[in-house]
Amino acid sequence: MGLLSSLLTFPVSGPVAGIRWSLRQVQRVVDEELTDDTPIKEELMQLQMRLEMGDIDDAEYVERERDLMDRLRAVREWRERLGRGSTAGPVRVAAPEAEVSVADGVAPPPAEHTTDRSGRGPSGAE
Amino acid sequence: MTMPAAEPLPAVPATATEEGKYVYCIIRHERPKEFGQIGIGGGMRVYTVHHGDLSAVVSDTPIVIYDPTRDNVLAHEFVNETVMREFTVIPMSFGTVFRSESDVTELLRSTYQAFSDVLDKMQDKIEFGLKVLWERDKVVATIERENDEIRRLKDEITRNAASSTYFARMQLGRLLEAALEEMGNRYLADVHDALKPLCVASRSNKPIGDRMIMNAAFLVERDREKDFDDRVREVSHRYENLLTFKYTGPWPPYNFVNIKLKLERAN
Repeated sequence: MGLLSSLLTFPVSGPVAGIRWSLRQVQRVVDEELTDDTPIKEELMQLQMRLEMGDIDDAEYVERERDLMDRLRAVREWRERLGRGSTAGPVRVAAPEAEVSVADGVAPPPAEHTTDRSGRGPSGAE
Repeated sequence: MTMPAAEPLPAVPATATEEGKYVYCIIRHERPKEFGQIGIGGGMRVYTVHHGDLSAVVSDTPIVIYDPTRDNVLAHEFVNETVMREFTVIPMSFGTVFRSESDVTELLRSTYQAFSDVLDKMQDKIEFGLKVLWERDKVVATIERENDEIRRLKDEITRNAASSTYFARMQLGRLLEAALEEMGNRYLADVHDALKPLCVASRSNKPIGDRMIMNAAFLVERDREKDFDDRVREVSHRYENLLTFKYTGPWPPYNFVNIKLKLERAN
């Protein structure tokens, strides 16, 4: 009976489970896109570069910058709403705890390899 | 019952406990120090918060998230530049806000040893940024001049515009791409070889946009700054017509110090 019922319901439960699974996947991709500010920051750096190279003028820079800031804020809101906090990038409130080390290749390499900073410094404003 | 006639104003207004500290960098200094009204958020007073011989360079701020607008980023950079004239600094990332002065003190206390070690290692070292962009058309022209096979193929295609095959064009494109990549790598190796003897360390970041072939940071001893400058100038002369060099600094050693802060929610 057990075998029979699972055989009978298989064609039904199979696809439904599949759809649920793929919906979850879709939702996850959507969440990630909504909460990833990396492409926005890359655009911001490109924008700064174009201003420096004289490809765009100041007025255009200001306008595009405003647009990018709106998008950054939107990402931040989604992060809050999805309970992810502000983990990355230049938007943060810091707790009084930190790990500090010298980057690889300067001195004896630190045990831990940390990711790059979010592109400030020489790649930021000049 | 008598009320105290005039309650003296509390030394610290109640709202001050709500006030955050924007942290620019960490330096070694034991006495209070002022850097002027240059802080982020409209010329806020920049001063130090201490623990032992370590100081955090801070300004007061509401607990907000700072957008990385040009104005904000420039304010952050300007403070660090100012501090760097006198001190070796460990720079904080843009936008680092602590809830209170005591949180800043706690950071210095709990990370004291690590900050001290890093300050020792960064003593009298500064960072320079070098971005190299190429003029693709000019590089292509150079390749066509120097590479016989590509030149021949191109001549052939131009001569027989009507009859030249799709295949020949594909072939040309492929050869050109490969030659471009090889040229790019050769330029990069050349620039690196020229600068390497003069720096303590270097790091490559991801190029920005499609014209950039190099986005690097170099850590240099302060007393070799001029040698390094001269060498950069020399290399950029060598490639005057093909490459554009964007040379910046001195910066605090952003790319050579890793600071992993534990973060809280903004609200």
